Amino acid sequence: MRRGLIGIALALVACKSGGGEGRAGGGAASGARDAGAAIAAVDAAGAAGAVDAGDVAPVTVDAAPPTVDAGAGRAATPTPPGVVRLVLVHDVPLLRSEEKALQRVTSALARGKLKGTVVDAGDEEAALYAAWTARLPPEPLPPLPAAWADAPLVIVMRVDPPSGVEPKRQSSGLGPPVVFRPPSNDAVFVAGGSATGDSFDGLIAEGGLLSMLATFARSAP
Amino acid sequence: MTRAALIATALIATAAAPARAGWRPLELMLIDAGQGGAAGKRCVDRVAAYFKAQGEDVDLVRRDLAAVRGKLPATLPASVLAWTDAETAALRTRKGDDPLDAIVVIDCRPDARTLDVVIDPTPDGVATLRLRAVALDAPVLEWVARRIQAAAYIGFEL
Repeated sequence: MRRGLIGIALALVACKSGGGEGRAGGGAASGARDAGAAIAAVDAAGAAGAVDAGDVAPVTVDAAPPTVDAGAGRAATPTPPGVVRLVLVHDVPLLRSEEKALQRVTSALARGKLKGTVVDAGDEEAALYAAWTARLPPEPLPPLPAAWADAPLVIVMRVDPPSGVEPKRQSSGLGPPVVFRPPSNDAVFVAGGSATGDSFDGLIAEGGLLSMLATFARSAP
Repeated sequence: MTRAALIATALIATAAAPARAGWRPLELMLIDAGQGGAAGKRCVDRVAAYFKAQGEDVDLVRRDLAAVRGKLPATLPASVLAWTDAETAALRTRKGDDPLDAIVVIDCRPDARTLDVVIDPTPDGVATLRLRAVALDAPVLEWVARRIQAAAYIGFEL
């Protein structure tokens, strides 16, 4: 009974987030949010006595990836201490191809010496990115979001809207990156002006931005 | 028999030559803004070495800011990050030849751990790279040089 409810809830989440080429809500973080919400909804139903206690599915809230970004208010929540935060700014859903590529990036971040997590940008993070990728660095330097306090490194980049029309939309790749090493509010690395970003796979390629994480994370002598 | 030998020789010679149809080097001018002293010059040397290592794919012209100062506007922004195409336009043009593909100006100050780069690949706008509080060692500078090269290719046409 409970397993069935979980299935229905997850199916509803899939419908909500999987329509068309892109996934509504976009990003791995929102997927985690949605899955967590679905499981929480089932747990709430169970608490209300709507499920058969003898048929408990092996799904717990712990099984869901950590929720690191509040979606509804687009407010960022803290990064786990010591974990690099890769923040994606995007207003349209990611393409399936981008979702898959993002999975490869997420896996690479999980394998690296410096562990990292991918999150969708909150409003404050999106605004900060816009300020830093303008023609010139902002003056005065804006403060960092409180959610970044425990991150050794934060990378912010925009996912450019896809080109083309359904059903032949193509990824336009990523916008230029901005890298911060909290608590300093001065960016460690900024590519600005007409600088282009990488593709998702370019991030994890040899010589890609993620190959510089350790260098950027450590303080220079 | 002689004709066959000639044809065979021609085929071998053609096969041995690399196929370069539709190819030309990226032509760029690298300018040291000269604000970083001797350490800054070594820093720009390293970036230049990366381009030289690209062989015939990159045709590098290296200049100090003082050498091209006469072609630039009388007043320059304090930071190279504020340079626009207006500053570099005169450097792109060449007498009797196509314009350079890109102008790259580097202000490298290893002692202060700062690096500013402006890349002007087309008249449509410049790209900038800015590093702060990072040791500007060889791997970092090679990584920066790769990004400069990528930005310099914007608008590149054969």
